Amino acid sequence: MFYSKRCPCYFLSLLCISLIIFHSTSDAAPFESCPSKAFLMQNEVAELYGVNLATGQYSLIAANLGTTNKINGVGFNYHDNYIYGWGYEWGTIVRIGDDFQATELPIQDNPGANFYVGDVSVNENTYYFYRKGATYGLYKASLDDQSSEYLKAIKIVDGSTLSLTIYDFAFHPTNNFLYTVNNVGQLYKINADTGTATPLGDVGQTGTFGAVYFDVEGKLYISRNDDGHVFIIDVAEPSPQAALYAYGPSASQNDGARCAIAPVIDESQPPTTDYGDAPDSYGTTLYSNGARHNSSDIYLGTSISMEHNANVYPKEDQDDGITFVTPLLSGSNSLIQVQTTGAGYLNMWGDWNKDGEFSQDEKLVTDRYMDNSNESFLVNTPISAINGFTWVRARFSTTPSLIATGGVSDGEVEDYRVLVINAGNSQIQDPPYYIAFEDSWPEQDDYDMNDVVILQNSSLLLTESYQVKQIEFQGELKALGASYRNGFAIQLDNVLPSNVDPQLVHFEINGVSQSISAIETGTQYLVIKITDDLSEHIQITPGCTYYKTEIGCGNSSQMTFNVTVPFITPIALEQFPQPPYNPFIFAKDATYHGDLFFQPGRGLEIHLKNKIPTSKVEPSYFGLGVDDTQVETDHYYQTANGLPWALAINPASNEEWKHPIERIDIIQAYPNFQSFVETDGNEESDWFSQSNANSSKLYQDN
Amino acid sequence: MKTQLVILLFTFILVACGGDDSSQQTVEKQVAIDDSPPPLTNTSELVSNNDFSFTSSATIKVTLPVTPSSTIGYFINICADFSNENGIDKVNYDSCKLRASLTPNEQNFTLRLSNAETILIAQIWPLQDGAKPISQYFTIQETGNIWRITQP
Repeated sequence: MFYSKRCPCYFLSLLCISLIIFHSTSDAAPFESCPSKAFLMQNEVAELYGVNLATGQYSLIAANLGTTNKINGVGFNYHDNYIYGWGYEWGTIVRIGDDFQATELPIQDNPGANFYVGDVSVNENTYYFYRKGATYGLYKASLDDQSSEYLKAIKIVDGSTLSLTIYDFAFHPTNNFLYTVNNVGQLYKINADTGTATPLGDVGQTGTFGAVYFDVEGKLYISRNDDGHVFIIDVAEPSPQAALYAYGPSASQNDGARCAIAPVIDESQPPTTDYGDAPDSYGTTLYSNGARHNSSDIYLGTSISMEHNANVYPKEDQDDGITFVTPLLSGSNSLIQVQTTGAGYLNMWGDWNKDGEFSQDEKLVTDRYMDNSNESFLVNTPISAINGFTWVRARFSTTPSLIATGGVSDGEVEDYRVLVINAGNSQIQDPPYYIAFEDSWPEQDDYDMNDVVILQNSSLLLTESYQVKQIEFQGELKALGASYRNGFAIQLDNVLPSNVDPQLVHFEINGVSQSISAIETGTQYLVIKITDDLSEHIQITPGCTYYKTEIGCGNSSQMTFNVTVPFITPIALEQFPQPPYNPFIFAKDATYHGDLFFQPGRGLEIHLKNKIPTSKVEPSYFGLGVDDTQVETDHYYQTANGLPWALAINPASNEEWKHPIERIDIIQAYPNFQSFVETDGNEESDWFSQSNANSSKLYQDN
Repeated sequence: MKTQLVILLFTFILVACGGDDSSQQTVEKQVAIDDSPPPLTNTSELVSNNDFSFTSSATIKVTLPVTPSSTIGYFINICADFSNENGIDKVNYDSCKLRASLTPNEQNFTLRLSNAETILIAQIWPLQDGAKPISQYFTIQETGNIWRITQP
């Protein structure tokens, strides 16, 4: 944005300069740095725009460049930080500095025509320009005033040998080849030394691509004159394709320049782009050409946040524009509320087949115009939509007919994880449980109850006859204060594995679909195995020993999971096990798990008190250490004093349970725990509430 | 709670500055003497019944009303986290215990809550453009664990 700020100064100085001296004697300073923005030269009398390639947002930088004609073939010179181009008024190269005034640079052996294709090499301080036709061709002129070829036009190849219908080209940031796309969508790679063009394939878009740029990662951007659409092309791909990247400015005459070694986003500047937060398979980050909107005064809800890049799930934005009053009812109408600030078009997509993408036909709302309103309205979900949680994307912009990805100059994108159920079905949501483990079983530990802490949410889908047709678990690792390596799983007691088709189980870690099945094989009752080793999914903060249990050991890494388990034959609700079900940890195979064992592996399980083990438990481990399991009376995983190795804690839906700091006994962090235990839960049944906690003893995320 | 003995410890008189005798106020301060055992600092010292699961939760039995219309669908959300802003209930739908369509028959559900949750909201929505909900509330301490939701 520094260009815009410079403009008023520039216009004043321009006025003075033009009154005193001719443009040809001006000596403007170069730009201060290699800018991330692209430059776009437009119109019959040249005007210069700055374009944010990420969003297509553009603004006028200079309406008067000191010429009465076009400037074309522009390129940013990384070697001296000037813009160079071809000035039609003078029929020669022009240079533009930070005062945005064109200075003509007469060249020796001028071909004697105007050129509208040009760029400056990244590898050498040289301007290249091209015009089709036998009389012309590809030329270069050194911009190095120490060179013997300074401002001398040298013909590389004639324009009949290199005969391309192109309107701009750009140098790759590293390989010194020129790239361009012709009017019928053919991508070419041009050897700048020989003028040899190699076709790289049809990119799938046609038109007049008057502005062509590269970014530092070698991605090519082409801007189409008639509609302003900016496409991105990965030229390193075997069959490069043009993907719509941003909705930019259209113009009858267009030429682009950009510092090819600059990233698209300048992270040294405050962020000006809004992103979604769905998993990146949906197109969320800049790298994935994610949905993104330039800062503006229109958005969903009452607020909007800006980021340099997307907070991808499980990280999340604070979205406030869409409320799903009902779940999305497949094959029927559902009710949503939408609030907008400003006027624009609302488009929404849903991942109905849960393939991790929004396809063009997975629309929920198309170009609904809203103007500063808060509306409730019906939307229709296709009957083919798979039951369970999926992702929905909402985009609001003055630009209609947006697709689910790419940049646009205004508005906002919000991503939501939304429940889809069949019309007539109902959902019961269990209370959230924090499952807190000590992993020292069968030996006594310090009762800080933070060796493993999992937040476990679960919900049931019921048929019209109130049978459980599907269960979904959503969880998050909240702490890992364990020295041992532990896996995590959930057993559904008395539910047979044969009632589940593993192929229909949907399993995600951190929003990424997993290829391995979550259904453990060879068990008596259904076991949903999340992982063999929780520690593989997080990174320990340098200088810390554990994950989120020590003071000063904040950690931004996260491990979440989602598992959807449909049942072949729905199960009567009264026969279905009760929450929190039977979550447990187990020892990772071939790892140390205490002196009582060598490497106990999967056979060592630690469950909530009196929850039954799986059929894979090693029964000989019972009774070791201080364990007082009595299998014959179904008293499991407790000491002789009836103390457990795991707790299931269910705070209110709007409250987070905080676990104790490393080596702080839970009774010190939650003093009412004593009364709760001593009265068999008849008193202080909300001992875990934060209002009952000694907060100085709790781990605080920081 | 373990408070068993309450002793009137002392009485004192405050005289307001600049006031007369009629402004005298008497404040009685009561101090509870707790004769329960001192709090433990180690969980390992606790003793528990071997049948006690260490898990607490509450349940309520809910009866949904029949749908008031055969032509317009009605949907109900029963949720635990909500607030009232300018007379409008703002509901966190992630906290919903039950989401169901109303049918021509009453429906019965048993819902499980946290012991820290004391109030629920039931919002019944007609499935039509511009819909407004009808809300009913349930306070466990006042109403017990049976909630019969009335037809809108």
